[in-house]
Amino acid sequence: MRRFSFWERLPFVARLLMTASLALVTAGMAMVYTSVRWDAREAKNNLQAQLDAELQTLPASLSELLVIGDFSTLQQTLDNNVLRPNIDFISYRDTSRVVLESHDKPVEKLAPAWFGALLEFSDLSGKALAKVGGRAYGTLEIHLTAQPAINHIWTRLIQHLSILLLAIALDFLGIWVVLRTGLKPLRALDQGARALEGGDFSVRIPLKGSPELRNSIAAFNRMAESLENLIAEQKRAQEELKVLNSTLEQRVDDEVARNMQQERMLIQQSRLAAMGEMIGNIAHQWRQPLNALGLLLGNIKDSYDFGELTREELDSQVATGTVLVHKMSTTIDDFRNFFRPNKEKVTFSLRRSLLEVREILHSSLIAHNIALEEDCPEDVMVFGYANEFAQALLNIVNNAREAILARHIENGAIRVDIRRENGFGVVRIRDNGGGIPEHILTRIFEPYLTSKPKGTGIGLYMAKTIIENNMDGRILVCNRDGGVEFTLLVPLASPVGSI
Amino acid sequence: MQCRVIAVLCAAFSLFAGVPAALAQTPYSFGVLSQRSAVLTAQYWNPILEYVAHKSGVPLQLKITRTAPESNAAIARGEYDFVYSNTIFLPATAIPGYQVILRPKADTISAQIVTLEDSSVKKLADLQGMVVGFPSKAAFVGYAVPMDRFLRLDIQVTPAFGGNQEGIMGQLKAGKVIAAGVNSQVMRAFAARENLRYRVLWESEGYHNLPISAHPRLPKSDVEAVRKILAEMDKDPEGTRILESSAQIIQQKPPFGFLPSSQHDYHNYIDFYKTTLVKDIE
Repeated sequence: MRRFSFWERLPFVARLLMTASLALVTAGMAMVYTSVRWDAREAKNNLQAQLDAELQTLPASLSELLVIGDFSTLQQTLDNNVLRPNIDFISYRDTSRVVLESHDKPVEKLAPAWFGALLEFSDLSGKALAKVGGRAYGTLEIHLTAQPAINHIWTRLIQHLSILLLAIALDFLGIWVVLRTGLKPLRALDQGARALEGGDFSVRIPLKGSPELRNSIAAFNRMAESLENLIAEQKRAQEELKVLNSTLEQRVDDEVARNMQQERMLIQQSRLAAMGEMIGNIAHQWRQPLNALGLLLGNIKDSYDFGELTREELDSQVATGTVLVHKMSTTIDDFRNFFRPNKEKVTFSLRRSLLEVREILHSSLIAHNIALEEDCPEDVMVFGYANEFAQALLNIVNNAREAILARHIENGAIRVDIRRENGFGVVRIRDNGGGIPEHILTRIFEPYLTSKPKGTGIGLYMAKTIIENNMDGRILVCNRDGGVEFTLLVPLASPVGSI
Repeated sequence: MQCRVIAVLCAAFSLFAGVPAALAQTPYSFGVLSQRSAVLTAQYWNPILEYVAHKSGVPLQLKITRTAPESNAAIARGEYDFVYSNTIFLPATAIPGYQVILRPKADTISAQIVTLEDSSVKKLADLQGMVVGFPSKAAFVGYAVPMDRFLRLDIQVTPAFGGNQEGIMGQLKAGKVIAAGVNSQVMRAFAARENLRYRVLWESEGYHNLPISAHPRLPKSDVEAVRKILAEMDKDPEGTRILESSAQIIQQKPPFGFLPSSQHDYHNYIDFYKTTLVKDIE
């Protein structure tokens, strides 16, 4: 946790007061110090100048008395002179050792002793020889006291300090008053911010105070207004959401029901499509035995017309017809089994699935001269729904067949590779039917998407659903070498439960 | 005890330092008639007396009073050992018996009654009834001689005193008195120094300037030593320089120095005092 320094804990008013006062005290003390030093220097110079002047003028003014030797008047004169400013003592020592002295009354000491010592300001004294006409009459000594000057400087110092103190007090008072009144809007701003924090977004602060504060308050009011609008908008949205939530379940149910309905329709459509496919393929399968059966019936009629129909001949023809009918019946069984959905997952052979597809499409592929090439080095057993997988495979191979037919590709070929890769049984179906446009390729597994004039758009959607949703596999598609390549990945089976 | 030892040592030192023994004795007082301010008088006489003391070994100390009457009173009491004054011939001051030993080389002095050049007073009679200034009642050529003249001409004037010669001259310059009795030489020097233009209304016969006299109590050797040095002072370059320097202070004209003299040279002073009508000479 960050520890705040003393300065950082101070409120703004205290900081300002402290800074201003510190500046004032510093400047004031510098001024006072400078003033005192200057006064002291001036006073020293003045005292020294006075002493020099006194030592020069006093002997001259006394010379007549000295010459006459009128010591009485000389004493009076000294007494008068000692009353002059700063002179506290004058003495005259005659050559005959007569001594006259005059003292002024001591000057009251206003300043403490240390002050004079601090100023390095002490009394001055000097001696002058009283000579007239080359003869020395005596020595005059003058002593000047620095006390009046020290008192004066001390008094000025006290005055300056008093003024400084007054200035600091006024500074304090002024800053306090100005800030007290000036920060009132700031306090209102603070209260407003707290109200906002408490959720009262209707709070507005009157525009008062300095221009800067008014700008800030105006900005705060704008922000509060924006927040209020935002919150109101949010409330409206929440209300709407609430309403929406209350109807959502029903809507979801409706949507799910609609989707299930659609799913059912898709399945139905898929069944119908598969049925159509089955019927078409049955028709293809039946075409040859039906022709044969037709020829057989024609042969029986011709034999009868020509009287050649014998019992043996009839039995032989009936037997042949029975074989043909049986074959056609088998074909129906095969198709019916192929399109019957499995109830549960089983292990099944990918090669067998491909064989079933080949069986169903065999006639159609032969009829259209389309080669179905197979590359299956080893049989690969996978786990899943065998019939559904075979239907998905049939759908893809049939699509390849239709693409080849639609584009009138000569030497149409569909190649199927079966491999075991990375724990998956992999079936790759590749054709040379010209491929799928890229914009369709990315959406190829979407329902109702078809490029065929009579397509339903269900087949690949169902294939993807079967492989990925029901069998935990993957189905991929891409264009390759002038055709389309589908890759089906189905989890490999464990050795148990194969068909 | 310590002070006494130091005093003895100092005395011994002074003996062996070659200082003339006379200098160590108490100096003789040299009184000067108060004609000018005491300072000017001291500036004039101190260098001369120092010279004499140095040359003769006779220490002299200048003594000045504030006024001439005080000087005369001191003379009358015989306080001065040597005196530079012409009032020794007064009957009242003659008692100590000061004897003239020297007189100035300068021209004789005379009494003058003067007024400012632009004054309306043209002759002595114009001063009838007026206030006339004088140095003091002790001033011979400044008061006794001119006042004697007023009395003999029966001109009644009211005397006003300025203390000394230059004192009353200052009053004349300031217009406080219309005319003044003065020493002709002092007046000339004062006017030159102060740039004052004046007119002489009357002038007396010549009197030798103030003599230097010695009190009879002094040893003749000391008196003679002093007389000799002063009489030969203008022949010594140093003495000449000091005389010229002192003369310059009071704007005194040459010749400078002193000549040996006696009472005889000043008989007209004595005669004057015998016949004067002025009775209040101090």
